[in-house]
Amino acid sequence: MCCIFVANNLIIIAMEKQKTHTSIWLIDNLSRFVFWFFAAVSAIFLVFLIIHLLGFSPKELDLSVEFPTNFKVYEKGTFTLGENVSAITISEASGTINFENAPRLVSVVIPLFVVPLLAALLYILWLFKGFTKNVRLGNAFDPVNIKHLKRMAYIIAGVWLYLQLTVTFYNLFIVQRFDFEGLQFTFKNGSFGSLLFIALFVWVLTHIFQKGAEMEEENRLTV
Amino acid sequence: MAIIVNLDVMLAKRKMMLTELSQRVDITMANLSILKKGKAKAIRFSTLEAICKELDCQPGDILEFRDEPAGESD
Repeated sequence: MCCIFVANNLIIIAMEKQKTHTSIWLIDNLSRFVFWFFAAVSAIFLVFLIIHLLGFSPKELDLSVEFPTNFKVYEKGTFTLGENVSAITISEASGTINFENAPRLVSVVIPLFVVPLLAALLYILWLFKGFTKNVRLGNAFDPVNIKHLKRMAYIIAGVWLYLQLTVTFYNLFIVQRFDFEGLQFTFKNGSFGSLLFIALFVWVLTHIFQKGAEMEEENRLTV
Repeated sequence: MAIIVNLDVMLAKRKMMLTELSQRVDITMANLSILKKGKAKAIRFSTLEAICKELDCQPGDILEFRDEPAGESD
């Protein structure tokens, strides 16, 4: 019975694959997997955050909170390419600050900053999952798809803005309180320009799909 | 819409049902229904030719232009 069930499902999957391009079928399944995986990870993170906010996390828990940061350095070195040896210097470097046994304010406030990001990313993945499903079913120019694309563009732009504000907050209120002998931290805004570019690209794609929907409708009503 | 489709008039004149026309011209009932109801946005010459051949009529017998005031058209 089990073998018949498995064989049946394999036949259905094979038939479905024949109707759509393999790459679309793969992307659709991958988007579904990524969505559910990310949802599971987010759920675990939220559960842990709630436990920690309520103060039920173990006192012995050595909470490490990592932050990316930039600092000035000045080191001389060499660059060897074949027989050519050139002198080089490093003037700025980036690294990760690791809080060992982070103060409660840091361990509570910083994860709270992550929650809206998680929600936004989860929603984007859910929209994308719906989008790829419609494409796989042959309804690429469905009005629902256009709505999904528009929302994706808005949310990605929102994530970009949020990250810019978060990094500014981090630099103003966290980095200024670092004290390392011999290290000078630089205030450097995160370059999330690629996110904004993606948002604009998806926005343009929305308009292209809208045109496609109009043309499809006109074709459907052409006798 | 300013272009009126008088397919039902021609069908009545030729005493033919829509289903029969659909089978003869090899156009789906759904498409012919769209045409008959005036919801079609465009018609291919090949379709018009097939309908006119079956109904033994001219395109002008099927299609009529009616000058509608602004705001009434699609």
